[in-house]
Amino acid sequence: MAGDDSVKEVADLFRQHGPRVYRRALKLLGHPADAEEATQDIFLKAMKGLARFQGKSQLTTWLYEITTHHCLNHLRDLRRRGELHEAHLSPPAEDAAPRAFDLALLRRLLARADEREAQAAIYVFVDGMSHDEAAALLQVSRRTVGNLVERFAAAARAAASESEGGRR
Amino acid sequence: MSPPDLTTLRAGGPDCPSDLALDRLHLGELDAAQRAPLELHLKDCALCAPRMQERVQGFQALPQVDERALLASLRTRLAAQAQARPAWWRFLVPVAAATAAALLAVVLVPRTDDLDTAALREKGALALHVFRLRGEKAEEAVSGERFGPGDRLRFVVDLPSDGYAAVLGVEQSGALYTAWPTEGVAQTFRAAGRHIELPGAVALDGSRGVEQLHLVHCAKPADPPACVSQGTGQKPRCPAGCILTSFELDKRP
Ligand SMILES: [Zn+2]
Repeated sequence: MAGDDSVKEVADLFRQHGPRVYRRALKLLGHPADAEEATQDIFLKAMKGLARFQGKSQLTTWLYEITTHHCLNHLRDLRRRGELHEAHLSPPAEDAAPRAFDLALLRRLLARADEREAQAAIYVFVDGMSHDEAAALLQVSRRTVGNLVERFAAAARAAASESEGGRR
Repeated sequence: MSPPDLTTLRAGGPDCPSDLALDRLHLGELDAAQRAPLELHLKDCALCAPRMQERVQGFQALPQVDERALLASLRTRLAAQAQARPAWWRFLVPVAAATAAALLAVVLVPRTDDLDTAALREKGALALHVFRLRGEKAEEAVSGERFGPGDRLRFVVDLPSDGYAAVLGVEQSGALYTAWPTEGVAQTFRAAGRHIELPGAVALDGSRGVEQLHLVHCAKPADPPACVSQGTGQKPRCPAGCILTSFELDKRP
């Protein structure tokens, strides 16, 4: 880990994959400082596990999995500690695509959803994966992905009508 | 207010390729048959052109991120980690044979690793790192990975504050068991810090299904932790003041 080769390897890997890991972490966590910290944590994990990869054709997929898991855990920890505040709920400034309400609600829902449902929801709704793509990552059938995201969407609808009634 | 439209969260339109597909295309991870339909789509999709552009630009498209500072910090942490982690896996003794009936077999590992790593420790969020032992090597596992009977695990934790630690498992059946402290470990109090190794290793039994491991961290002694199973896939209910973080073991055949 200390040699010149590994220093270069870290730099190359970071340049190639860092921007996409950061972007995803920012979208999921909503807070630039958290996204930077998460990006580092994710790379630390990746560097440790890299030896397992013969070819690197699956590396991107694997980083998606690590990032998903890491960000979900982070959202849950924040929720448990009562720290899922507005800072994490407001959308990142440069991320113009999704409506603010959706990202804020998404983080709240992800923090409390069943782990598999949350993972499936991230892959399908945030990353735009087909059910087939998500099924391959989650190692379940396409049908199961359909069920998982439907349950998540139902919870989202319920939460939206709740907040409409109570205006938190 | 209209119900949340989750389909608006993604980049691109409903018929556009996923972020993963574009990432893999950009990095040259796809074969010709996988590339062809994507390249066809990209030829005349106005929504996807900026998505690909963003990928080509890398950190340049993220002016708010100081790439050099982030990389420097990552290197520092990697170096600290390399120094902080003693090679405890070299001293493992073989797993005892007569453990078929036990949920978990306990392997006592000689404590050869009492290095002074305190200087390298820093506070962070609660984290449970699970290492799978393979021969002489230990590899950090990722939550949700596949595990098999006989896999041997060791735990390394990050603790945000001083307190009492335990690792509890919830089987597919919902049954709660203690994975750590392993037999012979008397002291479960740990000072706050990162990369704290929990002594001993556990070997997974032959039960199948998806199991969760929960690192439980309590301010007061909860020894054995007064936690109650809430069923499979759920975090156990623990006394007030305890915080938990989870790790999933996929033990399906
Ligand atoms: Zn498109």
